[in-house]
Amino acid sequence: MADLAIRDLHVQVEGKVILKGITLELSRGEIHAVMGPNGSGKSTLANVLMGNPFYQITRGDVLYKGEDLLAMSPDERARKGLFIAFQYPVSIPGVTMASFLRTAVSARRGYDQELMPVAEFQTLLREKMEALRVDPAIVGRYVNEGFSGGEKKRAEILQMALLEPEIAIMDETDSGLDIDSVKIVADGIMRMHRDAAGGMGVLVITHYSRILQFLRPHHVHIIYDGRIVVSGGPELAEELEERGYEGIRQQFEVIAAEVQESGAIRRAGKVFWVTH
Amino acid sequence: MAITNPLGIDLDQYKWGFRDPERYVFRARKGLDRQVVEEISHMKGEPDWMRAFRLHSLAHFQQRPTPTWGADLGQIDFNDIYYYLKPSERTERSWDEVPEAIKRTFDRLGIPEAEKKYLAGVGAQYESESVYHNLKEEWEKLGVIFLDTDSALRLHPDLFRQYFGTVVPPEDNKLAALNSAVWSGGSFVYVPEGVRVDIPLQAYFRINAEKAGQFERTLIICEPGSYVHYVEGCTAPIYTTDSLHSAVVEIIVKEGARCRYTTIQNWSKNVYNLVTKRAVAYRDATMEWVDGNLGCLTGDTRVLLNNDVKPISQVEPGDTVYAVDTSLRLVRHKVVAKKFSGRQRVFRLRGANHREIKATANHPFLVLSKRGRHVALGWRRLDQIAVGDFVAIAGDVPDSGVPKVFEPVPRRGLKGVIVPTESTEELLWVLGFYVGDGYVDRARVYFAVPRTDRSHPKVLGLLKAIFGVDAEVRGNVVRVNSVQLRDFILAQGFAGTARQKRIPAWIYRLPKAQRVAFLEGYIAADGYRRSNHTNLSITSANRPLLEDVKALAISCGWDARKISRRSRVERKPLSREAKEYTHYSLYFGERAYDRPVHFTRVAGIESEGVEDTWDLEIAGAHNFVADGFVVHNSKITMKYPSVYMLEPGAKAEILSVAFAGAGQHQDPGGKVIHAAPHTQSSVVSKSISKDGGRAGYRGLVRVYDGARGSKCAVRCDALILDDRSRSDTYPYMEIDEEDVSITHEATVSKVSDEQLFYLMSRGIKEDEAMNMIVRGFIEPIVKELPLEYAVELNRLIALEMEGSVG
Repeated sequence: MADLAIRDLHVQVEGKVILKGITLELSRGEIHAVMGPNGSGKSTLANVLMGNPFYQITRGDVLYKGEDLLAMSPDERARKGLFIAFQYPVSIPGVTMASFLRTAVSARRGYDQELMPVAEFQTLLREKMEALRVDPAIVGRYVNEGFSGGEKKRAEILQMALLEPEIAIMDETDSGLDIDSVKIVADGIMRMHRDAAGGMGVLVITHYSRILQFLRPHHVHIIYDGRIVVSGGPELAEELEERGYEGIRQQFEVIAAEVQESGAIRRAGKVFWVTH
Repeated sequence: MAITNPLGIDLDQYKWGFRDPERYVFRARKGLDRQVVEEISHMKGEPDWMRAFRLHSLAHFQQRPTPTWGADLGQIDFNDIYYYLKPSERTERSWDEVPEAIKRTFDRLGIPEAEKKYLAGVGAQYESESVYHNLKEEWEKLGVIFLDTDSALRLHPDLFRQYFGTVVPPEDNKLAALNSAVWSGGSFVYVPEGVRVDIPLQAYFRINAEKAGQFERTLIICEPGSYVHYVEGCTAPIYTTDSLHSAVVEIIVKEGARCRYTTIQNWSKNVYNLVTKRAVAYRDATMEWVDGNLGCLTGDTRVLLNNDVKPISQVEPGDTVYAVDTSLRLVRHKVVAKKFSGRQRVFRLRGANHREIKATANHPFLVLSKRGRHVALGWRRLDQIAVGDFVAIAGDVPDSGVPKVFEPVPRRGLKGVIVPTESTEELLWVLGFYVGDGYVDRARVYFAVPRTDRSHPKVLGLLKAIFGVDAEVRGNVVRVNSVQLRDFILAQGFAGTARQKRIPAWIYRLPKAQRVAFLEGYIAADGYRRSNHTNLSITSANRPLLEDVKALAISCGWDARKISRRSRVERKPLSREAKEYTHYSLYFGERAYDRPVHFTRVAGIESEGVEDTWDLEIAGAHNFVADGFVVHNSKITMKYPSVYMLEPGAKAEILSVAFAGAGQHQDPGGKVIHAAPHTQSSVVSKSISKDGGRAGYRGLVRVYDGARGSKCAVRCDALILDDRSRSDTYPYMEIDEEDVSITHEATVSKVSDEQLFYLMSRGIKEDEAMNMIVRGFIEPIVKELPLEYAVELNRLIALEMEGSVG
């Protein structure tokens, strides 16, 4: 039984349907990539998994280790071991990174009434910052306030390192980063994936396959117009690189036309490419 | 003008051995005149110039008209205040006497040991001396003077005289004149040239730890290049027994010096404060004001409004309540705000006259108490009142009722009646009687009064006289066959069966004579006088009605006392069933409460469990009448701190935080006056409002002609946490110079869902996430506070967010 099982998930926002039946399974120790063009619903999927109240789920369910994930509040999901590295992390003025991180780590580690002891936290923090080559000065700054794009992404990874999640969702973590930063980030994730006790599952949501050179996925899924239209191994990513999303779009339109003509119901997940 | 029996208390009634008026503990009389002022000066052993200064101020005070701004001051009668209480009259207690709940709250707020004791009103003199002894030696070596103002005048007269009254002269405003005439206590701080005092000075460090008085005067002098941070937070004890607290703070910051004055409102909101705070900053000097702005009755407590009685949970801002002024008269004041104070542990205070009220432990009552040979009159918290003390109760409330005008009732059916247009005593008698013994059906009105009853002829007679009807007598019942009369009675709010009837609200608003007539009518129906005619009682199965009657009777000055309950079990004949009948009896005593305020002995104070509690904020008074008791409540009104930048390079900074919860209205502010070129000021205000609270800010920026090259940046940030709450910003700018840069930024935000989601996605629970965001919002100000205050302010905010600060 997969750790994270998404079944026929339909999601809409403000009346507009975004996800039209996503089915996906992911377990700890696996790296999955979800790729798709802009507007395909990638970020929606990531946010919905984390419980962003902005989106409405109209059908389907998500089970996390057998429990109904959609019934849990975002903080509960996080405490269970889910993590998302946001594409556009929001800033929280007046709250220092240090105090925020300490509160988050304490929550993850089950400290209910108090916080983790300061000394212990600081040791942990220092260790993780070194490993990720994060500038220590960041801890005195307010959460994401005035951070460059790269700093924000690295701060997200730092949080991931501190929280040691079971399943990590990376929402376009590589966007806006130069190649060196991408490598550092990917290495960090790989290390966590490798070293995590019980293994860490990673769901990499990305537009480009660049990061996948450093963070080699076991499975690749292509999402288009709110559906996963094809899944495969890592070579699918390479193929996508060559053909581009245009190829997918063309195939999709052909099939959509057929569906309309014949009235046949095609299941989501049908393999498109002739070569497969 | 001397008044010999200021309280007007008839002491013989109280029978606890108090006889001799000279034993009164306050020597100074009520009222303010030359003699009072001279006495004050004499008792303090002041030099002549100070006495002259006081008298000069008094003259000015007496000349000036009472300011018209704010309803607050308009209501104060300055002749009816006690202007001086000797220090020995302040109550001292031992740490053991401090209630556990208080100690626990201190712990929760993380307040340090010595400070706890001071705040609890425990004699802290010795403690503070031992704890801070080393610090004091340090300061003495540096030449820093930190004393209470009285001692400073005595020990450093020349220095004192040089600066005293120079920043806030008596002529400045009426309150300043008042304070200048009767000031006592406060802090005096002098920092020599170039000296930096690293640890914030707090009043309880003072060598002579006199407690906060009504008319404190604080004077801070910073010589060139010096630095000091003074914190007012610890000066005020948890609550003050004083009715009017009008302090003056003068600060002089000389060339290149820096002074910061921080006020943290401690967590009790029972201090009524009118403070004139002003600083002058000279060349390249910096003045910073930091203000942090941050007590309860059960919901069914009936508040005596302007001839109306309502449960406190239904009182609304704008209603007028009865309050007791300083000469123990009942006066009317408007309710400014109402606050739901959460579920708290409440206690029942029982008076010997059977009046009862439920309140939280920290709710102050006006108490006359005997300690040894002394008598003291003052406000005391419920948890400091002992059985045997006397608490103030409302007696005869001034009559401001008006007769009711009735809407016409259309005639239905055949038999019409004369429908009264306005209420009269006779009509009220009939209505009162109706409540006791009347009922209706679809077409008739009935009065269950048999022929043998004394009231029988009166009922018949009044029905004829008022309504023009000839009532029929059928057996034991008098009845009127008129649908119109029936409609009239129902329209006035008298619907319901015997167990459902209540006294409609409009009855409470009638003139006293009519209310009394109503009561007498009701008593004629349901009341019972024992054969010796001394004690009246009313029996009914309808307890809420009896409570209404009790409240109405109290409003007429009657001695309505206890409502007791009696049940009997009756076994029905021929059946196995037993039915329980419960009825209640309201007893009256014979005291005539002909004075506005009387005192009753406390018979008991018992814990009553946990209930929803409320508090009211009254404009211009600090108390109101609830359930017949005089209870204290007041608010903090801060006069806005100001900085006058008098020389080039002077700088001012005013930071303030305000939190307005349910029913609260916070209105802090600040003034900066640019009176020289190249001066700079910054005003930052952060306000948070939630649960319908209303937070605001008033900022005045005044730039004089010639203040070239000056800059002023005002920033007001409001955080509104829900749809019901509100924030207002009132910027006033008077700019008479062109070559300046003045900016005003105002932001309004709510806690964004995005931010909440972000924090929650890291495992942080929703309310903790809210708290973090709110703390982050006020962080720019909090980080300017000394650490322990930052912690305290954060905890206060957390408590406010929970809604549990009473």
